[in-house]
Amino acid sequence: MEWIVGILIVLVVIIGIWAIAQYNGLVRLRNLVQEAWHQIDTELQRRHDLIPNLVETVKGYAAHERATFEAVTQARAAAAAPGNSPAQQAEQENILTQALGRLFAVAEAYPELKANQNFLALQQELTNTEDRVAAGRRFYNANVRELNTKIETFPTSIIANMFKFVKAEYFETEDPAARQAPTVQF
Amino acid sequence: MGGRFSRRNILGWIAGAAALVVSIGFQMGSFEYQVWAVIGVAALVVGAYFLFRFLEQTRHAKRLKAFAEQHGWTYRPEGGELLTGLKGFPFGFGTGRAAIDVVEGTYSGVAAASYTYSYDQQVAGEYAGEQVFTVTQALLPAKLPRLDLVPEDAGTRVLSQFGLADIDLESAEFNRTWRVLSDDKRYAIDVVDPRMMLALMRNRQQGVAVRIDGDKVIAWSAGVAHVRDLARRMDLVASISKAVPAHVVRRYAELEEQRRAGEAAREANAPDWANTGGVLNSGRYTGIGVDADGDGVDDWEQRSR
Repeated sequence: MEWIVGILIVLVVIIGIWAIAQYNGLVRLRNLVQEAWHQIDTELQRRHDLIPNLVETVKGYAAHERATFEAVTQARAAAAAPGNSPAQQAEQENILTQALGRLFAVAEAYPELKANQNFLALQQELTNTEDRVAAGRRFYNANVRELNTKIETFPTSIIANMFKFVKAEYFETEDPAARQAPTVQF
Repeated sequence: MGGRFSRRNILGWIAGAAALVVSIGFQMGSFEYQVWAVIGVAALVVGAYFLFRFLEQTRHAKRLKAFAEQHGWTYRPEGGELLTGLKGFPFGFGTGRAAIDVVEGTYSGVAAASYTYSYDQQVAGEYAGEQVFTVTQALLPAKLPRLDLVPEDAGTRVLSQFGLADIDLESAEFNRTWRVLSDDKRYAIDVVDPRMMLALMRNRQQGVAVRIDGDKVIAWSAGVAHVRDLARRMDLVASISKAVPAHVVRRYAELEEQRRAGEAAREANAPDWANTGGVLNSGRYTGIGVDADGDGVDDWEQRSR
């Protein structure tokens, strides 16, 4: 009889250790997701900070394109507002991207603007920032994928449900140019 | 393969010589001659092995020379300096490390080289055989931290050399084919973007592992690869070099520039004693509490990271 009790105690200890390991793993992943989101946020802030200069530069050559400037300014304000969830932020960033696309389309009609060094520098910096946002997005989504998979798969899902771990949202932005690219097949 | 020194001819000669030695030995009748006959056959086999190796190496070198000439590249028999700075398996292991049969040139706009790398394996201080690898490398646009990409079919001997956990990416097929190994997950995900994944999947070859380290991307595999595989291996390293994302190149180029600027500032501001090696100093000027260039940052804080 005693050996049955002994085995039961060992089993309980093993299960306890396993549960602690799973819990800690989930906490680690959740923190990674949060940290990755903060990194994206930093890059998005940089993107938002570049836009007023860009708008002012374009205004110097195309002051009458007010509707375009207002659309960019409003989209920027909405995207820069605090408290957005990743899905909401993605939506705001998509609207901002579309507004910026129209702004650059306006700039195409002004050769002097296209040759303006300040405009070129801002455009390049914006491109660099968007590259970093895209890279940050991939890293964030990779961590979200790992966290969500762990939360959903058995038996870690038992620990996740017990301690109320929730799935994180992906950060999916729309890139019209990417939608036009051919499907990549290995 | 034809020719006077073809494998078939050599095997035929050896078989004939062995048969002759054995028949003479055994016809002699005495046990002593039979023993000598067996020793003679063993010596023939060993000699044949080394002859094969020599001939194979000579033929391989000839094929490489012809390949190099055909593509406007250069061939040289040795290139030990190519191993400088390479670390991690299989580099930096064993003794007698050598790089031979070096083919160098520009492939698809990227400076590249291919060579045979070998070292003598040591086990408990004893010689345990020669290990040979084919290595193909290309220059990267910036100095990057180490990242290993090991194919799943590389074999347990190779896979067991890496203690890092595999990093999963967006493509299930890619994850099944390649192991991405790095101690910096963010860096690995930044570098292995969809374009890089495409380059790796399109140009993958059985058993060929890839390493990005410093200013080189290296593809290596066990054994001596045939010359006909050389172009594909060059394609692999050149396409990887060109697929490194622009923002990664920019970031690490900036970091390298900052590191050099910091080093130059430290060198310029260091007192003589700090640049002189001695018993009680490291020969390195720390610059703690000194801001010689007046930028508001102590010299010692001007580091790359």
